[in-house]
Amino acid sequence: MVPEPLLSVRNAGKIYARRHWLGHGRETTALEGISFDLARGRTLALVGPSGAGKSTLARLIAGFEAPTTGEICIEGRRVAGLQPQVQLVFQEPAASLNPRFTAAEIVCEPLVIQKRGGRGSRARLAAAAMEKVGLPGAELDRHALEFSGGERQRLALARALVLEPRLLILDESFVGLDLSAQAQAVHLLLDLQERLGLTYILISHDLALAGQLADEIAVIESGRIVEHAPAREVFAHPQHPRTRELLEAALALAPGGLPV
Amino acid sequence: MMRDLRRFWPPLVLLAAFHAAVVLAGFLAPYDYAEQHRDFPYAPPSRIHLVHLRPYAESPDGKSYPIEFLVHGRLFGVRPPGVVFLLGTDGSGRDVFSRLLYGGRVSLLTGLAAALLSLVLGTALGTIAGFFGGWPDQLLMRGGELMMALPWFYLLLAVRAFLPLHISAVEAFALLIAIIGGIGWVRPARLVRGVVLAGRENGFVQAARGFGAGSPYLIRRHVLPLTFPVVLTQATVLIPQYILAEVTLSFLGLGVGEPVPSWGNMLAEARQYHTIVEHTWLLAPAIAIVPLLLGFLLLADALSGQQVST
Repeated sequence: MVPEPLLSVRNAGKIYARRHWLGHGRETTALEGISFDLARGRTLALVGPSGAGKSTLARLIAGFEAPTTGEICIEGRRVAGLQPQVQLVFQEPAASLNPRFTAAEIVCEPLVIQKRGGRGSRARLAAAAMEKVGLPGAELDRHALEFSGGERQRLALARALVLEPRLLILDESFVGLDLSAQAQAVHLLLDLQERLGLTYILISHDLALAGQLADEIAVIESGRIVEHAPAREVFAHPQHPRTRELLEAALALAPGGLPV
Repeated sequence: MMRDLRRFWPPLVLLAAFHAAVVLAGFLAPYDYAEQHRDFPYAPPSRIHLVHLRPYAESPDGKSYPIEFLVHGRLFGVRPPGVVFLLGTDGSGRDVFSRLLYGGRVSLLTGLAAALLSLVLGTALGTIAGFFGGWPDQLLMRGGELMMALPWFYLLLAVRAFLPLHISAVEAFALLIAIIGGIGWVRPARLVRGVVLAGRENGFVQAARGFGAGSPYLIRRHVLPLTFPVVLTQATVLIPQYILAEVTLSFLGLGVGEPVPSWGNMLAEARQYHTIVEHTWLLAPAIAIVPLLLGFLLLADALSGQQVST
């Protein structure tokens, strides 16, 4: 028997309607006919140019917005609104951390918002989450601004992990990190996946980065998935012209060859 | 950082001195604000001889009386029938120095209370407008523009005309605060709205929303703290402005009435030309207000310098 996928997207579409008070408004189709399954413990990379609809898809899966058509199910249940088992790690982790907050306040915030546990248990969970991402618990009193770029990214990750999600959506979470910090982050994510059995959706316009993390790659263009295949397949036999374009761009930046 | 902090000390010391002086009026002032010395109207400031074995004051009656310290719960005074007027007396023979201290209570408290009212109103309305947008925003901002367009001085005269001719000092005081503070919320509201409008787009606000945070939480925890610098700077600008407004209104007889002193109604007595020429000591409130306002403006300056450096 085939195990039930963690995430199942069926014919999902999103149309943004800009209504005008005098009747006719304009409609923008952001996503159309998106379907795929994602099994537990796997990593799917959504790759595509800016404005292709990657972040919209992420917002639909995370429950920030409802799809206009089709449905999205997690563990067989239809997504309606925000849910703790799916967490989104935002673009530019530095900007998603309030500079006035200490690390402890940042990591505890989801628990405070969800009104989970008391002060003591929150502190324990925060320390545990910091431990998971490799930040020493002693740094809980430092302010967000005092951390380096790579550490801030870990902090954002710890904050997402504190609610114990099954699915983590990483929306361009590597932007602005230098290459060594990026490599460390990739290593950390792979390690966490192994230890906690996490499922990832990685959103990126960088195919090279996607190749390092993803089991499968879906290329999105103009709101549609134009190619969806195992990562090796995509690198070896790119089908769609857009995929080839992205691949060439990635190769041009990595003269030593791709790490696949 | 250190250099910036040093800039806070002069205005803070100056303002602390002023506020301590009016709070301690009952101790520092030798007389009650309403106490009349009918024998000595328009008496010039008494000559004080401090550098003497027994410090003494020359009374307007030509005799000298030794100054006594810490008697009857006052800092200083002379034994009757002697009198001591540090800043002379007004037309009713009331000690200008004592009235200056007591009158400062009204003027300073009006400034503080009206500024507090303006800032609370302005912050609340500006936050609502900026955070929720849509029709509340339109309503509040258009309403604010209407408020700014109103000739508030004439509005004030009209409001005062509707009320009974003689109202108690407390009622007049409350009215002053309500009017000055109630009109002034627009500018802080617009500034706060701008900060909130930009602040709600911050990544950390979006992130907290993603964890399921509602508007009250987002406003309290993330957005309101962003407005503190603006509100603080506005406070240092509004308080002196409102103190001046109180002085102006009381000068015109729209503020607290006799015998309760305020710097405005004390100056009202100095409005006659001959008074200014012959009894210059009646201008004491006008002179006292200069360092006070300077203190607030230096504080505003130090605050804004601080914000630029961080």
